[in-house]
Amino acid sequence: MRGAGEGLRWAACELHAHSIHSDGRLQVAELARYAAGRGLDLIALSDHNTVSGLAEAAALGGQYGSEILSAMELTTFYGHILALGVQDYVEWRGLGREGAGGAVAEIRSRGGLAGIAHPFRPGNPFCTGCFWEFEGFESGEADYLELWSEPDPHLAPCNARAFEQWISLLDRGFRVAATSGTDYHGPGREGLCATTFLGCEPGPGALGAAALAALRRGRVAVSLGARPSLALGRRGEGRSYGPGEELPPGPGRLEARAVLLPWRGAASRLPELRAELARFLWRGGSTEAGLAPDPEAGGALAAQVELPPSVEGYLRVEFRGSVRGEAALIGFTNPVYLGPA
Amino acid sequence: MDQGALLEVEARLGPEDSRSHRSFPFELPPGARELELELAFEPAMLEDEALAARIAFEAGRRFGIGPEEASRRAREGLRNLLTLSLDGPGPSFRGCAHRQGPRVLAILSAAAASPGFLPGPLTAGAWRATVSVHCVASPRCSFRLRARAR
Repeated sequence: MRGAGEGLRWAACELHAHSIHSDGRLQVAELARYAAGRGLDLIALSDHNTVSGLAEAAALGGQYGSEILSAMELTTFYGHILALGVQDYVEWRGLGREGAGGAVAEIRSRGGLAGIAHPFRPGNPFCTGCFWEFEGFESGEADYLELWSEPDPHLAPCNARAFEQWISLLDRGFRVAATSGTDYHGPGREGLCATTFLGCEPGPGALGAAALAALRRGRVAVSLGARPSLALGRRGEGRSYGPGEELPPGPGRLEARAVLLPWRGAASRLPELRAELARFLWRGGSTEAGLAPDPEAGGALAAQVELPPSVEGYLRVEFRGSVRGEAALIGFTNPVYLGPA
Repeated sequence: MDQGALLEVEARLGPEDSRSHRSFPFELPPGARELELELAFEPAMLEDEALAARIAFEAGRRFGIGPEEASRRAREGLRNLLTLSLDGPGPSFRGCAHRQGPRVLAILSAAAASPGFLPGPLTAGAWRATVSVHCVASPRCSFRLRARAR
């Protein structure tokens, strides 16, 4: 099946990191080097409540092989809001318990995207403001949710709660993106870091702008290892649709194909990860298929299924297997949405 | 206050002050080449281990953490977190020190600034230092805030 995501450049991203400008341990340039070492194309510098590292980040450009996306983490008393793509400070100090909607609107008016960081990470007095306690704001109204936080995100119960919340929002018709973010503060934490892949339009502009556009559209996949992809189409029709796109109604039988693709940052993780099957999920149902080497792409694993006509709302895929011998979710795509019939 | 001192305050806080701000205006005279702020608070964390275990257990229930995990976190220590931010005339945001540790020193000039802060003109006029009390875990916490110009 051809078409889905064709022509897009899937940028490997870390969307949550701190430097010495807040409570991180690395200088901005060291963070850029760290990102390059992970094989990333882009790392967001999202210091707590300040933007003082962004001038240096801009001056670095991509000289270490990774670009830095300007950002700030609004580290409020009632939740942490990631403002991706903002260049200047976003005021948070006046935000009360009902303030999330205003902050999100302000971030968008500056051309940024607003994400809810680690929504269920235990808050005060363990991690101040970390647990999302804003009121009068539906999480699905944010631009994205950081479902997988910190290293070894597949093991944390608070991430599993975030995942459940995301599914419930999708089932209710929200089209909100889901990402990972290591919340990197410097060396010392063991564990696998997840990567967020963003389907960027190719072009001469800066990668950061294309990455923001991709996240806004929901062209997103997340993985501990190889890059997940999903293509959904109808038999006999020419094209297929990828994450963030909308499949129009039609008579043809639905077919979906899920692939795990090698990328440079995944090589070092191979001994720890084993991918076994792809589970295709939609509102109220799911089906699964084993992954097998993809004859069309060297090193890739693929699974293809026919879907029942009852599929509605969206289709997304979870890749399951094992990490260090324990059964685990190892990656997932954001949904392809199904247009109203 | 010594020469060059612009602000010197002390305050006492308790857990009920968590999630609030204390804002302190001061006047920067013309001709300053450097502005220095210092925030120090104590204690850095809740030192009473039995009380820490009780608080962690209660908080753990709110966040879905079991007793073992709560106890582990209590042993790691429940920290107080006070952060310092600064606004110049306008007002214009001039930075924030959001990090663990009970002592913050920030020095700003036209050309350079401590991490977290923005270099730029030290415009004479109304400035404001804000202590954001994210969390007081100890029964009492006192802080001292000073600003001086050179």
